[in-house]
Amino acid sequence: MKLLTKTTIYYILISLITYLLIAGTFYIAVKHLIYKEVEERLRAEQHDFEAFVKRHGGWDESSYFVENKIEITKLRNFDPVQAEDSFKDTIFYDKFARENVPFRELTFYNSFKNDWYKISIRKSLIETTELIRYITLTMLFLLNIGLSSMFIFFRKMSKNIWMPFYNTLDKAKKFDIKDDKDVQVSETKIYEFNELNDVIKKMTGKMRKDYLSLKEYTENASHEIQTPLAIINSKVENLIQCDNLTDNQVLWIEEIQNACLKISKMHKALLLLSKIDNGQYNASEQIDFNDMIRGKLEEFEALYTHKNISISFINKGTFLSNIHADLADILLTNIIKNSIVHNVSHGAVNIEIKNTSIEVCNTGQPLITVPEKLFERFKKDKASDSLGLGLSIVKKIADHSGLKVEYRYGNSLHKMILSK
Amino acid sequence: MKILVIEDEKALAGSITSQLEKEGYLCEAAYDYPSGLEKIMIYNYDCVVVDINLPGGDGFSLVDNLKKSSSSTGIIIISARNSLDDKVRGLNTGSDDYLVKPFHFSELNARIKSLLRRRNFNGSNEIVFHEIKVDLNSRKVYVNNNEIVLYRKEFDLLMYFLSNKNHVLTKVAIAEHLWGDNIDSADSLDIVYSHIKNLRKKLLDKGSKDYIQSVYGIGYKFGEK
Repeated sequence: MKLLTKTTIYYILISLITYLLIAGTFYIAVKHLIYKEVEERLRAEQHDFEAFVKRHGGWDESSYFVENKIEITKLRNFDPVQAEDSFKDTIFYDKFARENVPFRELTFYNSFKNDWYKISIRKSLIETTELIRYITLTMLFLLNIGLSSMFIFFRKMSKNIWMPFYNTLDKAKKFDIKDDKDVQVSETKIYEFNELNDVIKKMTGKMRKDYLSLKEYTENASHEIQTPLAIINSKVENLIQCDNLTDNQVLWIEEIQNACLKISKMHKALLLLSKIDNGQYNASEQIDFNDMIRGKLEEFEALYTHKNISISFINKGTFLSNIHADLADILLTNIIKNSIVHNVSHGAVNIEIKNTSIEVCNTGQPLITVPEKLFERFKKDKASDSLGLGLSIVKKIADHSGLKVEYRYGNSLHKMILSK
Repeated sequence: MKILVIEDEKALAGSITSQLEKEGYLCEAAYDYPSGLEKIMIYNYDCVVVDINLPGGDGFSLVDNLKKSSSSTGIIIISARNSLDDKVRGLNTGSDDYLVKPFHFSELNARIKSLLRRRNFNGSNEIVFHEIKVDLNSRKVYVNNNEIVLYRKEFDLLMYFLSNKNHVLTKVAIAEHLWGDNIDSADSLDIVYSHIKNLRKKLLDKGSKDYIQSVYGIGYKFGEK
């Protein structure tokens, strides 16, 4: 969720609540005021009524012709102690307006001509409710205008205030560790943003420095380790050329040489993994995997003919992907080599290419390790002579190049699926 | 034939030069950029083997200088860098070959031989070893003037043997020469064995002597007993 959306939602929520509160309070206040007014007038009429009764010793209905205005009921067995005035809201049918109309009613008790009477006098509330409605509507209208103009102003202002932040964010997004330049952020008038810019500048600067030194280290390490290995190798080869070696000595020498070659290969593989992490293979070009797999199969021909493995290569589509050429080569070499090396004699490898996926399916010994751990480094059969880095390289390259790699085992077939 | 080895690691340079001298080349070594540059500016070499990472300079610029001063010299880069970029760059600057460290001496030797053969092309481009004759242009092999038909890899194997006569070649070195270092499984050694068996059979069938000797079980040697 965007910052602006979030603040807008909060703003709308809070203003809605305030708005309702204001409207409610206002409504109650106006209503109270009007009731007070109406009740005062009802009291005044009560006094008028009592004065009239006192002066004339009775009540004359005829002088009060308006419908529903007054109602007098004669009471029997009335105990004056109960005579207490009370207000209440009531509704009567107005035959002119043909609708129910709200009234405020005052009930009081009085005695004349030796009898107790219950007297209810009423006042229509219709004008006052109308008044309340108009006032409330006007209020709402004004509040609406106020809030929406506030809202628009607030959005505009937010955009303005956050502008430097979005600029910085944009610069940080575009930051490429392999660029020669540091992130260039412009000075703003807001203290916090300046601080943020400073932090970003410092962080990216340090990242670039670390990256460069790591890159330099891996390059140097590659050279520095391969060179002594090359020396060991060449000296061992000199030794092999000697004539007067015993069989045992030759065996040892061979083991030294093989171990040495293995270190070299392992180091190259680990170096490759760290180089991918370092983003040294970010350049990409469109690679035709069908072509490359065809080439790889030729490369491994000696190996699979030797093991009498039958290869079926089905092109149902063309798998194109943007990937670094070296990485594509290593990826396919590892996948295909895996399917042949970990195969059985007279086994089979089926490769099926579609537009969005490549499936390499091969026979082989059942899997001993957990499939999920297959892509981890140095996970391999104890018996196997391989480094145990092949599949972690496959995974790393796939992740790096936006491809998915998946392993499945079923029907005693190992299946490696590479998909977009 | 004069060969210059420019390699900062003295032990490695010494190892290479001593073996090259055994092969009958006149060999010199330089251990850093300035002395390497000095040597290639003053003397003429048939082949220069140069490392990329050198104290005092970059091997690529040595190759560049060499190309400008004497274009007939063959150049082989040996480097620990194995990325495609470096290889392409090396070949683009004008080197003839690019070998990634660590390498087998027999591989370097074979590459130097093939390079020198290409450089000193004098009409006939044949290798003769007793009754075996190889025509490099047509890639045909004759034993006592009878052609024998070899598969591509068998031909490469024979050439590798002929370039490294009387030299013990380990099975690993042979496998890497024939199929590159991608095929490094245990099976590859069996494949080497079966290829050698086939090659030997084809040579013997046409009346060649048996020049391929198995050495201690670790490799093979080609030459007279």
